Amino acid sequence: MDVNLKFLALAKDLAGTGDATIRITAEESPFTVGSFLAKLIRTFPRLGEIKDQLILAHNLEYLDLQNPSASFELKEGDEIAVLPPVSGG
Amino acid sequence: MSEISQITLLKNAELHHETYKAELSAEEIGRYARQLVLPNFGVKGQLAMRNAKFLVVGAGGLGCSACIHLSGSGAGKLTIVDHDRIEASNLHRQIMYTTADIGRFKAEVLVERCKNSNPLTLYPPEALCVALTTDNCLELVRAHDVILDCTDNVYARYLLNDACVLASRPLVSASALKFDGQLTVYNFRDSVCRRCLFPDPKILQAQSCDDNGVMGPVPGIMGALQAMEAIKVAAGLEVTFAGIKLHYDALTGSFYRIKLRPRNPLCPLCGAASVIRTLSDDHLGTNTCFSRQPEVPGNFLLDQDSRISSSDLATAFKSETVPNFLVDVRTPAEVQICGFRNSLNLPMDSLLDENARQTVRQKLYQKLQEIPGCSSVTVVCRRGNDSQMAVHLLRKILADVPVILKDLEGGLYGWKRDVDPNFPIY
Ligand SMILES: [Zn+2]
Repeated sequence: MDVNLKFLALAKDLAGTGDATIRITAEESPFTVGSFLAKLIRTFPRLGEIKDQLILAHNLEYLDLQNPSASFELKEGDEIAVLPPVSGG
Repeated sequence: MSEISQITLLKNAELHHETYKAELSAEEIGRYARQLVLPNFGVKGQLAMRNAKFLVVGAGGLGCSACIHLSGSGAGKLTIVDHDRIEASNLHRQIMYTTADIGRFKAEVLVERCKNSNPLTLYPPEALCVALTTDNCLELVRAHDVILDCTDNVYARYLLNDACVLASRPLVSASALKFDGQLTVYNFRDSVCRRCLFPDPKILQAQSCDDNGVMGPVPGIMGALQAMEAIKVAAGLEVTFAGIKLHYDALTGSFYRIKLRPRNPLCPLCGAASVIRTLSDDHLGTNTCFSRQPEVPGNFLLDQDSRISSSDLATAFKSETVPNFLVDVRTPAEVQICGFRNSLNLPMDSLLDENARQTVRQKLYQKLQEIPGCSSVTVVCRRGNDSQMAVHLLRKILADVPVILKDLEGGLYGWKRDVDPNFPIY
């Protein structure tokens, strides 16, 4: 199944795109927060540069990266938003 | 008994026609008319605004927009903290300042503009032209009801967050960079604090801060949203962005509302077993910028032998005895602004990207072939920091090529200072 990715701010620059889809195989799910981030970084290696500075949101709800072993269910057409905090003013 | 007889006759005094008004002056009613007629705000909201004390830290793009809205709406007390002075490069986004204000303290000018906009506030707005520190922050936060984080750096953002949790104040925080803006209200009732999301500021401070471009309207928009949330906090309206992060992408015109986590029980500040009980630099990291910090271990600064001064480079240009070419590691957008002709643009990003290195190597190799006898390369950037990092990276990429790599000390800023005062800087 396909999951939609939405990259924002610096994550957009590092991924090289604002929107992408990622294919999930049956064996991969259910994901843990940590294993999903690892898959993201495998697919978009430069995201690794800000892996400790990211917010991930599943259908606009926060995924807790401080608890990487928590699992979550992805469905066809779900969206994961990837954004770092912005600090400028 | 007939119904008529049950009506109590009004007493004389109650029949007497009198006027009344809310506890607002006629001037106030006239000035705030357009928000007084709104049923969600009304007289109750206006009186709450008059009694509220707002602390705005940062008088840049966010602060200009937030402050003029707060004072216009009748904020009883408004204190603006910023120790910076106005520069020409601020004016495209810091909309309360004019060309004539260049060189003046931002907080002082912004307070003037707020006073002119609304002389009716309960107290005159106050400017504090000092840096926010661990010594003054907590006291300032305690003396106000609603705190607005309009700062531009991670250190100040955590300092305010810590003070707001320690003093139980809501923190309306916004930010703007490039085409992106964010907004959230921390520590309002049970909404998260900044450390619930990112406990350690040092991790965020590692972000490069020389990418300081921003489109003018973005901080204006975010500052206006910030004022709106601050007014809602003060007036007792439902606060939309407590526990919700708003992200504005100006390029696609999209707003995202991301529902944040509940408070983190393990938060080092607001959690059950909190370890942060005071404001201390030990918990706040640094307020100076790191440049990029990836794979060059330890100190990446070059020794003097690996650097060339602007004046020496100018001399070398004239003599043409030592064939030399320049590598400019700024972004292509920056290269379009100004620079050295015939330099090779290899953006820092391409040097850091493993996959781009082969291309980088080919370009350099080709350039070296084109200039017979060329044995030295000078690396240039804007300020002379990235160029040092680039020399390290290029030495790796060109490990097997006999070429001397140096960087231009002080970058284009140094060139302007020591060689060409008419050269533009940005
Ligand atoms: Zn917290």
